Amino acid sequence: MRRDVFQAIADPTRRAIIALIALQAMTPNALAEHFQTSRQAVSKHLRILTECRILRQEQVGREIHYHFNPKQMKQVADFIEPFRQMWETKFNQLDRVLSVMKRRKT
Amino acid sequence: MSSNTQVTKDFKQKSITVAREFDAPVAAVWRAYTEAELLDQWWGPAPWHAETKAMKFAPGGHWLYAMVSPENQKHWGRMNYVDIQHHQSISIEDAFCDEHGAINPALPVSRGSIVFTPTGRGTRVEFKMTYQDEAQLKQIVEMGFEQGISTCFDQLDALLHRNKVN
Repeated sequence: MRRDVFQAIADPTRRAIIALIALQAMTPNALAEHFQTSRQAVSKHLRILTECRILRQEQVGREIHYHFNPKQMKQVADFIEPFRQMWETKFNQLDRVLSVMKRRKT
Repeated sequence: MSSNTQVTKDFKQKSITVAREFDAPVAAVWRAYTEAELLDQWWGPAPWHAETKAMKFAPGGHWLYAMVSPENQKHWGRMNYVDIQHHQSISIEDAFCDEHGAINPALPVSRGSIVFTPTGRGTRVEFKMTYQDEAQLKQIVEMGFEQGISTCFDQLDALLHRNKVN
């Protein structure tokens, strides 16, 4: 299976995990509290994200903390996806403006 | 209507093109691009929004606007109108500036063209931005990355909100 940054961000739950851990390092249990899915599912995402090197593990006593690896994420910046997403957001907003204009006219 | 935005970059030409088709006639899309009160409603990618300070839509005129963050942080931008072909195309220069419109030379200035083409369904818009060198193009893509990350946070908010409701 592919293990790169694009694989990492392909899934919405994984994107949410990245966003949470980017704010602060977290244990799997603390993280799982934010999601409705099973702990196993969260663990699987964590494993994929670690294999993609978006996250790195740190052993603190008996607990594992997951840290964000911004360097790896920066790879995405060299590619187009985030840029495309920004324009997608803008153009979806433009769609809404256009449909309001249409409704006003009729 | 999602995932319809096509982006192509050409490092050799130092350009990046964003294209999308809209379900509206050229006249309407043209207005959304050329009237300040309409531009303000969509130009800033959420959670950012755009605020117009001044606009003169005419060759030699410009649009001075701020990208405003949810924390009310403002990034000022200036779009110079170089050439306008009514309902067909707009040639622009796009730069970062201060609130008075003085251009920041440290940040990339791009030349752009926005082309409006009628289609069976509505209007296709192609926005091509050309930079002076590859480094500038990269810088711009990385800035998009920042705002792309805020989209990521939006999705997170939605997800967390959903969990709360359930």
